[in-house]
Amino acid sequence: MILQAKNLDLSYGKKIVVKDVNIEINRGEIVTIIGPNGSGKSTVIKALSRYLKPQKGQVLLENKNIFSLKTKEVAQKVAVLPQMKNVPEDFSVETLVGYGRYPHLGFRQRFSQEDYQIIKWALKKTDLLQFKERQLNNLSGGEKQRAWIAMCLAQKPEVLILDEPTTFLDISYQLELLDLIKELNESMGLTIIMVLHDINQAARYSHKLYAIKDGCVHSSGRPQDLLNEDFLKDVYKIEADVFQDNKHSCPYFIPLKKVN
Amino acid sequence: MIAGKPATRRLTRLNMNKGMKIMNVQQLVEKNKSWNLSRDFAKKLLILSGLLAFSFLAFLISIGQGSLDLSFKEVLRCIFLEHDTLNHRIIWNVRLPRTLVAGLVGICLSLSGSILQGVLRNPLAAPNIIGVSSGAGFMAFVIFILFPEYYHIVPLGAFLGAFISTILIYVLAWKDGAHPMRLILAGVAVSALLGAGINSLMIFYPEKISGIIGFMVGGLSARTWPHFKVLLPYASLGIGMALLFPHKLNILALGDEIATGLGLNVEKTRMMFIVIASLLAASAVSVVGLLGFVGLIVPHTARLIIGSDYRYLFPATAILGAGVVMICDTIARMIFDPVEIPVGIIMALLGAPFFLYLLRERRQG
Repeated sequence: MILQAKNLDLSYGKKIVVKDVNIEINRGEIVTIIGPNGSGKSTVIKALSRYLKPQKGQVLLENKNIFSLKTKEVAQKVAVLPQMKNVPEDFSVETLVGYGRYPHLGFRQRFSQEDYQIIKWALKKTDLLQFKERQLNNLSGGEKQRAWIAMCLAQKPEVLILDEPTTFLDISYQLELLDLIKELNESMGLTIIMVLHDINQAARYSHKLYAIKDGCVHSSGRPQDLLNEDFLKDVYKIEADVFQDNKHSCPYFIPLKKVN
Repeated sequence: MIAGKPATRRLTRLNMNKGMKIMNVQQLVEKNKSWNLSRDFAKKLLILSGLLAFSFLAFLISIGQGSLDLSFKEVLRCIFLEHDTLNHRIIWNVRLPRTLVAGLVGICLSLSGSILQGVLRNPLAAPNIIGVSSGAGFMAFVIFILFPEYYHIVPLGAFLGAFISTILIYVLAWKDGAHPMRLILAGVAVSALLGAGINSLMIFYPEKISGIIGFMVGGLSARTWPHFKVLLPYASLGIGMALLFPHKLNILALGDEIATGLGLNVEKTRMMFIVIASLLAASAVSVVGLLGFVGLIVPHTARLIIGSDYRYLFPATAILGAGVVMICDTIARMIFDPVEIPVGIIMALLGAPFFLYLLRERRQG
């Protein structure tokens, strides 16, 4: 187990948003957290990425409490792509990706030959080598998102945490991104934790799903075990027909209507 | 067979040499590529040298102009070569220190504003947003009006007032961390409170206003070496920071979550930068009064010229800040000679239109 959340209570101010959540993530898995709006998915992600301190419980990275580790130590193992990020518009792609090396640099902040090679590798992996001098504001939404992922890759992490990486992208970019994530998982054994809104995509690209509802873990398991008519009715309050996608050996569904 | 062996060996060695040569060529190509790639770097370097030239020119003009007009050549000779002439004494005792104080004030206030714009992620952030102006102004007023016999400690009081109000704002904004928006709102609230204090003092002691108006507007007249010595350590601190930590501010600019993900201790970094920004601005304000506008307009102008990467923005801001204050002070001295008008007024009169022009140009482009 590489990352684990144990009896997490999370709150913003006094309002408790997430209650008693347990999550276990094994090395090399793609784990997707799904759930309706406002269920606390992003909040859980924030705690897993050491951004939000829990009221109760703990997050363990390789069995060590993530909040007792130094920010830099965590950043050498865990890379995070949050929903909320500022894009400094006149930064070049290469500059942004270079910041992925920050957790590995010494006090003087100088890149070694190795750092340059890693940056180049990250750009290549995300197919951005030809754009490396471009300014971020001259990139399309999909390219911009790939640049952020390249920055995460330059961290050479073991775990990559993504909060709704496909939001605001059109469908071709969504698939491109998810394929990239899957490829990274398969070729490097990178552990992926992400939040997705599209349940069909979550089912197709993940090894394991966690469904969160009203701040609690509703259920978890392999997509083929989890995704069925009752589950969708219970978690999302929709009626749906669930089929089996034999080509990708995963379930998929067609929504019919909302139920109350 | 026997003769063949060394031959093959030689051949291999030759091939190896060739291989090495090929590698060298490749490295050369790589190097050349990276030279080409840094066209952006070259461009920014060019802008920086341009700014440097502007500031140096401003320096020479500032020293050369006055009741005694001197050419650039004479100025340089008076500073570095002559020793006992009248010109040397005028320049060394009066003009040079004043110009240097103007430059340092420009550096301190501009860097302060630049840091705050990055830390608070707000283009309108300036030293007055973290209470520097209101805190310094309030303390100066209190000393001037209630303890007039201690008027000589006004600079120290202003410095403390500025710094303490920053700390106060920071503490008030703290709630599981000091969020930029909360900091800005707390700053506005505390400044309003202190402003009310200043206004009530003005109403109760109207006869004392004229004495302090110079401090409120900000001016450089009669500033000499002691003032320079007060400023120098802070300006050096600011420049040192600019050289050491531009990366931290760049990363902070990506957002709190990204910065945390990259291993930056966001709260610690933010506090460090705010304290430095406050020290920089407080030291400047304590020497020349409330010269707030530089801290907003220079960092912004520098950003429009050179971009938002702090590795270049910091030096650009410092150089531009020094030049702008020096040139504005020269104009303030010259325009109604022999009457001097406060440099703050010139700064606003010239700065605001130029700033608006830059902003519109940029929008169209």
